[in-house]
Amino acid sequence: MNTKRTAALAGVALTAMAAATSAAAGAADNSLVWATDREVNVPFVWWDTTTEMAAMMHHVFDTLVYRNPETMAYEPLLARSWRWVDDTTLEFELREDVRFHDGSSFDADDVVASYTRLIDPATGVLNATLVNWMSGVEKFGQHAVRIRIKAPFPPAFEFLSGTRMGILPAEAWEGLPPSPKGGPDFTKMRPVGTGPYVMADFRPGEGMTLTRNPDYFDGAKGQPAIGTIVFRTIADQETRIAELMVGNIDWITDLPVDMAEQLGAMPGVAVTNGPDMRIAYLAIDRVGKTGEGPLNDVRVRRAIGHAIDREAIARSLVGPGSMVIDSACYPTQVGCTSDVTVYGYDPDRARALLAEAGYAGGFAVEFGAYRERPYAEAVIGYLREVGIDAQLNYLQFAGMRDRIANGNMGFAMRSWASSGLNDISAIASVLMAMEPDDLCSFPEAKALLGEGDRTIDAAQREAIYARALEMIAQEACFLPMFSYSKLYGHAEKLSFLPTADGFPLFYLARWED
Amino acid sequence: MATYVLKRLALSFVVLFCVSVITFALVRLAGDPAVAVAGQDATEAELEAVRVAMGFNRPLAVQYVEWLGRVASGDLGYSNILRRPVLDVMVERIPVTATLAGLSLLVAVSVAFPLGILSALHPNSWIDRLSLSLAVVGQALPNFFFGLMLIMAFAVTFRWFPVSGDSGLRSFVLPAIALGYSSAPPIMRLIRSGMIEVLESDYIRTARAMGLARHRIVLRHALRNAVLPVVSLMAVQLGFMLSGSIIVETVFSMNGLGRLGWQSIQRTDLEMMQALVMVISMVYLVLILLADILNGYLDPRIRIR
Repeated sequence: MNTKRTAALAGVALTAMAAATSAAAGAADNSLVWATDREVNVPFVWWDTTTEMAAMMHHVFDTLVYRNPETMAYEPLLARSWRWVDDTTLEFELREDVRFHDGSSFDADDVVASYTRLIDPATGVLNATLVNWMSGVEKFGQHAVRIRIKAPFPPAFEFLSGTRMGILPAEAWEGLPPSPKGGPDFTKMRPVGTGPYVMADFRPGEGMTLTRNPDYFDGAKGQPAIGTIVFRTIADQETRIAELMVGNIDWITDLPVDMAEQLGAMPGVAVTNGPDMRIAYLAIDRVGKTGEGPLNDVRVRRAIGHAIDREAIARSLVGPGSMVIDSACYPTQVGCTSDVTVYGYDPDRARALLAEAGYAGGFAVEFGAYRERPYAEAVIGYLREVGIDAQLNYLQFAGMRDRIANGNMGFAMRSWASSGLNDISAIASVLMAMEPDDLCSFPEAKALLGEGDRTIDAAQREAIYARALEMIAQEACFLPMFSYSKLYGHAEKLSFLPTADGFPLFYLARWED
Repeated sequence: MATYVLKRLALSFVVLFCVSVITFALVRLAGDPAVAVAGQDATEAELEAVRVAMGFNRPLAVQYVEWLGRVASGDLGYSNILRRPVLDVMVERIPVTATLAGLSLLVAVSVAFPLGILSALHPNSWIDRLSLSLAVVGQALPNFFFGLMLIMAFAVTFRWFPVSGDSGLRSFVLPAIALGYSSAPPIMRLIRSGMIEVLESDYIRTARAMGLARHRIVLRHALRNAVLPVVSLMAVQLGFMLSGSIIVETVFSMNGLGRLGWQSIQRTDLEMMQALVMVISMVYLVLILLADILNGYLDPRIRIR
């Protein structure tokens, strides 16, 4: 009886092991399967704005300029070189050795046809602001183009290297069936690019399969290592995790913190904590939008800064991918500097400042939050230590924004992800624009940031932003806290580069032995 | 009989019209369709451009009448999110949902019939109590949770079945159990009560007195009569399965009509939501109509009333 039972148990164990070996198919056939909850329905980000499709654009298509994801430097990709002709004209020399997936060769006509269509409102590109900073594209020789820009636009390279600037063959834009809404139906184009992967199969709503481009040119993206990349839509989070556990998928993102530890303990599965461009900050009423009160006193705002141990929150609550943020931008962003006045953790100094401002006994204030509640509660705990009674009002984003805009809330924990753009103009300039919900309402800072947004010369631009960031730090109305972090669950042997902008780059991934 | 059928048919059309009005109004409360098309980061100018291009800026009544006209002529619309005709997408996804519903009904029937008959034969016995507990659990357990339990046990731990997907019959097993199990209890209870009633009737006593074999009495004479109301209940259950498939297809990531519905709500795909609700309610109405007609045919008292 006993031996029988042991034999049966061994049998079960063997079956499980056999299943586990076959499950490691990703490494065995050099493929990578990733899944998220969202469906992709059109194989172009211009008409399907999902992050998933945006990420795949980097795989199937190439851009003139490449943003090196490790150094964040702009490098030539389809362009060989470039120069500013004047403040609103960029000239590009193109590579001559590049071929599209269909075998045709790449030249200036393809750039002109693609970008002309993208700028044209009739093409119906959804997030048009990502392309319509250009006013036109001209051929300047078989392998040279000039891009004209509406007004001096320093983040041009950030946009040029982005997900919206892929190039298709000129012929791809012609001869399309009519759309029911009139005009050609561009969503029916063949997804032919020059990129490291070929779109082998696209199943609307289900997923897509990309295969390695064997003839990919030696450029800034390097040669891809993984043979096949499969994207699948799996709506339910638990189901995605189960698929990862059995080895049918190799990579998932946005893992909930409470699942991370359990999942990391599974054999063959690893959890990685990566950076995230989203930063958390405290917005404090500088000008008395909510009426006169303690918050209008700069000493009180600085005391709030000194009261909070941001390092501890980042380390123990947010995760290893998080870092302390010192200025109103994400550190890798062009034009960002952390070299500003910082209010380090010093509760005694905070109490002293409060006493100096006449609030030795502390005060009570409404405190808004809309995202991770534990982060807000940690801040409240630190404020209580110095005598500030911050009363949490936890709201939906729209509700909180309205309350702030209407002058009913003067103190809130907010966050901003910069739309994944690695340029300070996507954060400081946006949040200090004196919109109704801008609690700093700081015209001098706004003017200075606007000047930076128009200055082409990099050194001069940086100097202007540095001044603006210091000005904001002095006023302590925008107190930067920490950056978020992203949790990935993936096959243990998969090596990949976690990116802060949220677009995974699988042409840099590979299977370890 | 003809008047009866015509009456039921007319009633179905009235219901369908009401459904269309309610659907049209409700999906517009679900959120700004322009935001769904252009994405969360879109600027106000981008949103306005989408509204004009898609016609969301025109009066609701105009949009409704136009839509109704198109639906009446068989054009279910064009999805602004999928950039494809709604009908094409639905036709693509029907096989998965139809297979799932069929298999689930099979699961429900094969659980409900034996247990229903057995508990009628032995009322208040342990088997009756067991099937009653199964019924209570089946009706109380939300099917997404039951589905996840099945995944953890049979797909992750034992690895007998795939976790998700819809390729091959094997991947339909767990979802069909998850969906069918919740439909089994009402069928089972109806068979039980029907059987108990029939078994006490005179003709069964006569059959017994004639010395017919017990299984013959139960399966040929009693069940035949007890099953009549079950047929119309099954039509209704099949309709429930269409809505239950929204959750089960999402949990098991099956590319059927249910998941299409769920995703359409997520991305505020107005045309798709409207068409789906219309088609599902139409299927539901046809099933009920068929059940009504069948009942009328079987029981003359109904059609006279």
